[in-house]
Parts: sequence; structure tokens; C-alpha cells
Amino acid sequence: MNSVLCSVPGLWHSFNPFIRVFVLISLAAAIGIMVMMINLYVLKSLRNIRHRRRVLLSSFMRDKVFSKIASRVDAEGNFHPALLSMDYRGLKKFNLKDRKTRNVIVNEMIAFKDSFPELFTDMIRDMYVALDLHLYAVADLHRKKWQLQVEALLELQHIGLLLDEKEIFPLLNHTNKYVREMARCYIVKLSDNPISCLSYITEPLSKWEEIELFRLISLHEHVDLHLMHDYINKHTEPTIAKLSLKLAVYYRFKEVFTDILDLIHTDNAELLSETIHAIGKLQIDTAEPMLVGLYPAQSKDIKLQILDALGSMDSGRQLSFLAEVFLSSSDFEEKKHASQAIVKQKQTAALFINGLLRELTGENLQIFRHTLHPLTTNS
Amino acid sequence: MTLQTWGHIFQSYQWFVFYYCCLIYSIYGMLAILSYVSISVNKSKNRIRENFLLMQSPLTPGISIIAGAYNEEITIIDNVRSLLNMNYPRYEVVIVNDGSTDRTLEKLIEAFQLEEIQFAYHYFIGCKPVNRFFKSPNGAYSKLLVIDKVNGGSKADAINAGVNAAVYDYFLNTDVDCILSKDTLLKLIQPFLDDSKKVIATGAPLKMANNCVVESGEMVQVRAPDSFFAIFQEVEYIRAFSLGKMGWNTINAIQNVSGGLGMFDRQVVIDTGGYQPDSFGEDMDMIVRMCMYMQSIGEEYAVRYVPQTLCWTEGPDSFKVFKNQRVRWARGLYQIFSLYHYVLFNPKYKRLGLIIFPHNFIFELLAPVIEVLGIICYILLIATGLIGWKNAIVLLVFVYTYSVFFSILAILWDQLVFRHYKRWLEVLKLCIAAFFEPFLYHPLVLLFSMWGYLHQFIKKEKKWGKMDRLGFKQKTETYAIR
Repeated sequence: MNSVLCSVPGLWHSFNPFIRVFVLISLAAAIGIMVMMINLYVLKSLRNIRHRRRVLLSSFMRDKVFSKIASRVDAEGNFHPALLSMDYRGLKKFNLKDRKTRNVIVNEMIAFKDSFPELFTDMIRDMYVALDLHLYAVADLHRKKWQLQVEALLELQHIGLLLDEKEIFPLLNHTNKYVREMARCYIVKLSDNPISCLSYITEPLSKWEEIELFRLISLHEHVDLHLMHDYINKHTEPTIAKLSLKLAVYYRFKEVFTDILDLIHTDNAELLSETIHAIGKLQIDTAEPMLVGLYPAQSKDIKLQILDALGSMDSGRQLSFLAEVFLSSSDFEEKKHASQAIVKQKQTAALFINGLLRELTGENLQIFRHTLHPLTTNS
Repeated sequence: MTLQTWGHIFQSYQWFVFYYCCLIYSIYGMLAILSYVSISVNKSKNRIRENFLLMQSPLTPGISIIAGAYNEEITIIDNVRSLLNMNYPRYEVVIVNDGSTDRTLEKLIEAFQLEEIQFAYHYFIGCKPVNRFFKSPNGAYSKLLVIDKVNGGSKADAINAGVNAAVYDYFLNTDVDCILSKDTLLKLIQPFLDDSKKVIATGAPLKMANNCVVESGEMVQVRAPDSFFAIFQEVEYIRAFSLGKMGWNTINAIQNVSGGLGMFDRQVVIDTGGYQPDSFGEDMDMIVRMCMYMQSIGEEYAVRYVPQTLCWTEGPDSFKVFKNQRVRWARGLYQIFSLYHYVLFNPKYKRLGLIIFPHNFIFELLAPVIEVLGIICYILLIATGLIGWKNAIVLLVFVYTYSVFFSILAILWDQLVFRHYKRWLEVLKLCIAAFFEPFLYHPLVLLFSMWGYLHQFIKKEKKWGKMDRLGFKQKTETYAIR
């Protein structure tokens, strides 16, 4: 052993400086490998310890706090808030400055609230404030790390605590898209009037945000639909206008039809497509001649949207136009959409469809049969 | 030339190889950092991206799952059932029977009560003639469409046929023999909805299914493979996906979306002309042409990867299958550089011409050639005594330790973040494989890559990249195949 150790300096000096660099780098890599292999077990053990701590704290919350709270609710669902305050003061003995401890407590509170949303929403919010947990969340909103800002917003949203406007409004158009998105969802969910909050948004919505805001608004109890007049116009941010059109369709809010018709002259192709879709879904049949007039000059996507809208309106008045597109167009998709639009009106145009079916041959017949087939209605 | 001159040439080349290795490791180091950024962002994002949102929303975009099937009678029914049970509100499953000569189609017809229907089919992109279409009147299988076509000799041709029939704006390209996570569609659609740029394709890591336990086409237990080739390929995949792809994802420079699992913008694929049936690397070829197309229309685009493993595929179990797979991949790479050589270092193609192509050319295409020549030089230098034993060993140890270092880093990183393997013993098994990979597996990869280049150079004929399937370990004994 000694002879080996003694030979190391000699070996080292026998390398030229260049090779010595490689020796050192290789040594670093070998140490790196060893550290990683040790970490494999250290991290595994640490994970287990953390998990055990989490489980202990969670079971304390459930057994000592929430089960007591639940037991004090009478058969009618009434409880006495004054008595409840005693239960959660005990939580202050935990180190709430520690983020992990805090997260476990807040997650348990949210889970409890979500299990009994009718009963404990206000109580859990009060408990959250009484423990000063909101102060940590507010502090996180001012940190540079976007992940912390997002988590704070998510926490406040789940707890249902609406902060002051000056805290939240600057975040609505934040440079980080996730902070921006979370702040928008937060304000829309907790505000008394979610539609009015859209006016503060100046940056475009992503498709994901659109889906998320749509859901939050559609689940909201107080939606002032009349405010949609302010958003369905050419001057609004196009993605907000699109979202408003989708909401109008969802609520079948036909009072905005004049605003929708005005949008038909927009230069934004996506907004135009959504407008035509809304016209079809809301069955604004007065717009039919307008759509037919628009048709020839439009791009293929818009043409297909017009055909679909005419089909959705199901008025039976544009059958000849649809048949003309179907028979004369050389584009397969235009033919298919025209055919689908005709078939959608089979209640009112059974005779027309039968007549057409007798005359068709070749590809046209194949397309028409395809759209008539009950198994391919969506294809 | 004198022996001394040769000696100088060999020695210079030897140093070139080590500088080259240093450069590769530096790039790996950079990718490890970028991968950390990418995965961290994804993890934070996932905390606010709730799956139920897409499940419940009427605005969720539709997706067509397209899978080609050629002689898959052993696994087809379970795998189609699994595709029909994905967590997603709006999707269809298009199975393209590519002229199978076994009972694939008959089994599908029996199991799903299929009926032949009239279908208005249009060849938006070229493929071999399509004969028949089948749908089921049983509501439970309403999402399924089966297309029977003339054998096109390639998966690309089958996928093209499926793209023509697909209804939705996005499609998932997969193989019927792949086991997909139930959340695959929910995860892969996210970048399309989330990105500020137009996303044209998304992918996710693949892993080996060889030793995993599968129940009715669903993955129930993830295990590291036992077989020689599959376990090394697992290590290779983890390194390539967790470090490589996720690193490139951060700078929007993904080179390829795997043919086993990729989601695409259907219209862009059609506008690009679809998959090339005569390509050996149709997946990479597709991405290259999609990127070139987006560049040509001047629209900002992105190809994205999500870090969660969503697909398990059966890895090669025999020498022959492994050889065929590697030769095909090498031919694909060579073919791409022959076809699109003008993209290389061409500033007109921006990221594609200045980052993706140069990296692939220098560190993927040329790597086997440089390495093989390096090994020959190394042996000659030692034999002729032009390099000392001690120095030679140091250089060898340097290459070896870094190769192992990055493999283990990738394995642990993957496990710490996603915990796919429930037992840490599985992870240890992979780490041990990483130690042996440079000696046992890598030389074979080099050999078959060179073999592939040679085949492509002499234009050897192409066949369907078919693998003999053994099936997966089933939880219920009824379907146990091995």
C-alpha cells in the first residue's frame, strides 16, 4: 500500500502538463460519479424523512384540527365560529416561516375546504388570515422568482382571498407569461364581476389562458353578460374579443348580435373565423346574406367556416348556395363542408337532399354518402 | 512517407479526437444545464396546468391518433383498446392496416364489430391506394376508424394514409406496439396551446417496455430491462431524452421527434407533402422539411419536448434486430444529409442551418467515422510506441469517465424528477449498465452505424422496419406471452 502511495507523486511528475489536466478532469468526473451514486441513497433517505414529516403534520391537521371543527357542526350545518378559533391557534406553534411546513398546512386547509365547500369556505379563509399565512403569500408576490409568484397566486386563489387591486393589477400584464396568466385567473375567479376584469388585460391571451378563463367565467355565479358589448368590437384586444364571442355562444347571449355583425369586417383572420362561428352557433340568420356575399373573396379557412355556419343555422334558405358550392368547387374540403352543411338541414330539406342524391355521381356521390352515413357524422 | 511522418499524422489525429471528445462533453455539459432549466420550468408550469381543465372544456382541440399496423396480430387488440381509453375528451383513433399478410385486419373486425363504410377519402398527401374503411356501430368504439390499404413498404406511407383521413387539426403519430401513458394527449397538446410561437410538433421521451408489466395495453409497472441490448438502449434513451432533447428544447433546437411518439400540426404536415416513404429516417426527415417550410413562409415556429415519459416501446432483444435497427437509423441520417446538404451552415435556414444541422453533422453523422479512425490510430500509436502507455491510459480514462458521468447524471436526474422506477434497485441496475456501455455496447453502435453508411452509399434496397415482437409481460396470465 505504502509503495503505491509513494509512487503517486512520481507518476504525477512523469506526465506532461497537458496530460495532467486530463488526469485532473478525469478525477473530477470520477468523484462526480461517486458523489452521484452516494446521493442516490442520501436523497432517497432524505425523501423518506421529508415524507414522514409531511405525513405527521398532515395527520395532525386532520385529527386534531379539522375533525374537531367538523364535529362541532350540527345536523343543520350550523357551527359557532367563536369556538373554532381555539382549534387553530395551536397551529401557530409550528414553524410557519418554514416554507415546507407552511405548504403542508395550506394544502390540508385547501383539501378540507374543497371537501365541504358549502360549509367551510369562509371559515378556512378566516383561519388562513388569522394564522398570518396571507402575509407570506403577499411577500412571495413581490419576489423576483416567478415560480414563487405563481405559487402564491395559486394559493390565494384556492383559499379564496381577494387582495387589494394595487397588489394584483400590475401582475395582469406581467412580463412573465405564467405570472400574467395566474394573476388573470386569480382576479377572474375571485372578482365579483369577472367580465369587467377583462378590460385590464392588454397583452394577448394564449390558447391555454383562453380555455382557463373560459372555464372560470362559465363557473362563476355572477356574470354580467351585458358587459360583453364592451369587448365584442374591433378595438378590443383580438384574443379578448374571441373569448367574449365564445362566452356569448356558451350563454347563448343573442343580445350582442349587432356587435358580432360589426366584427365581420375585421382584418384579423382568427377573429373573423370566430365571429362567423359565433354567427352560426347563435343562429343569427339575418347574417346569412352577408356570409354568402363574403364567401367568394375569403381564404379557404374562412370559406369552410362560412359553410359550417350556414349549416349550423339550419334555416334551409341557403340550400341552393350550398349546393352550388358543393357541385362547382374543385376543392375537396369545400365540397365536404358544403355537403355537411346541406345534410345538417335534413329536417327541413329532406326532399332537396333526396333529389340531390339521385343526381350525384362519382366523387360528389361518395362525399354526400359519407356525410349522410350515421357512423361518419363527425368525419 | 516515412514512419515518423505517419507517426506525426496519427498523433495529430489522436489529439484531434480528444479535442473532439472535449467538445462533445462540453456540449453535454451545456445541455445538462439547459435541460435542468427546461425541466424545472416544466415542473413549475405543471403545478398550474391542471389536466382536468382540458378534460372538461368545450374548447379543447381535437386530436387524431394515427398508428400504422403491419402484421401485428399478436398485440393489435390490446393496443387498440389502450388507445381507445386515453384521458382526453375529443379524439379519434385511426388504425392503418398496411396490407398485413397475417390476421391483423380480421382480428380488428371481430374484436371491435367493425363494418365496412363509404368514406370520402382524398389524397392530400401521396400514399399507396386505400381499399376499404371500417367503423363500428357499437358506441364504445365510435372513436375508431380502420383503414385497409395496399402495402406501401414503409410506416411513412401508412401514416400518410391516416393523415389524409384524420378529422382533427392535430395528430399523434405512434406505433400500435407502443404502450402509451393515459395522459399522453393531455401532455403533448399543452405546448400547442401554451407557446407564444406556432408549435408544429411535440414529442416526449420513450423508454423500453421489455421488462415492464402491462395489463390490457396499459403500463402498470415500469422496470429496467434485463436483456443485453434493451438495457443499454434504455441508458442511451435516458441520456438522449433527459439531457439531449430537453436541453435543446430550451433553445428551440430539437432535431427530431421520435417516430414512436410525436404530435404534429396536421396542416403543416400536409403543406410539407407528408412523410417520405422512401426515407430511412422519416421522422427526422419530416421535422427537417416542416422547419424548412415554416422558414420559407416566414412564420416563427417551435418544436417542443415535454420531459415526462409517455411511451414505452419494445427494444431489440436480439443481435439481428439490434443490427437492423441501427443500420436503418444510420442510413436515415446519411440520407438526410445527402438530401438536404444545402441546409448545412446556411444562414438562410437560421437555427436549422446554423445549430441543428451542424450539430447533427459534426456530432452525429461524423462521430462514428471519427471514433473508429481514432481507435485505429490509438492502437497503431501504442503498437509503434509513439505514445506512452501512461498517457494512453490517461486519455482513455478521461473519455471513459466522462461518458459514464453523463450517463449516470441523466439516469439520476430522470429518476429524481419523475420517479418512473418504483424501486431504486432498477436505477442501480441502469447505473451499472452505464459503466459497461462504453466497452460492450458503444463499439457495436459504431460498427452498425458504419455499416449503415456503407449500405446507404451503395444504395441497398429498403424494407419495412419491422421487428419481431415478443409481446409484453402481462399482469394477468391469460395473455402472457413470455
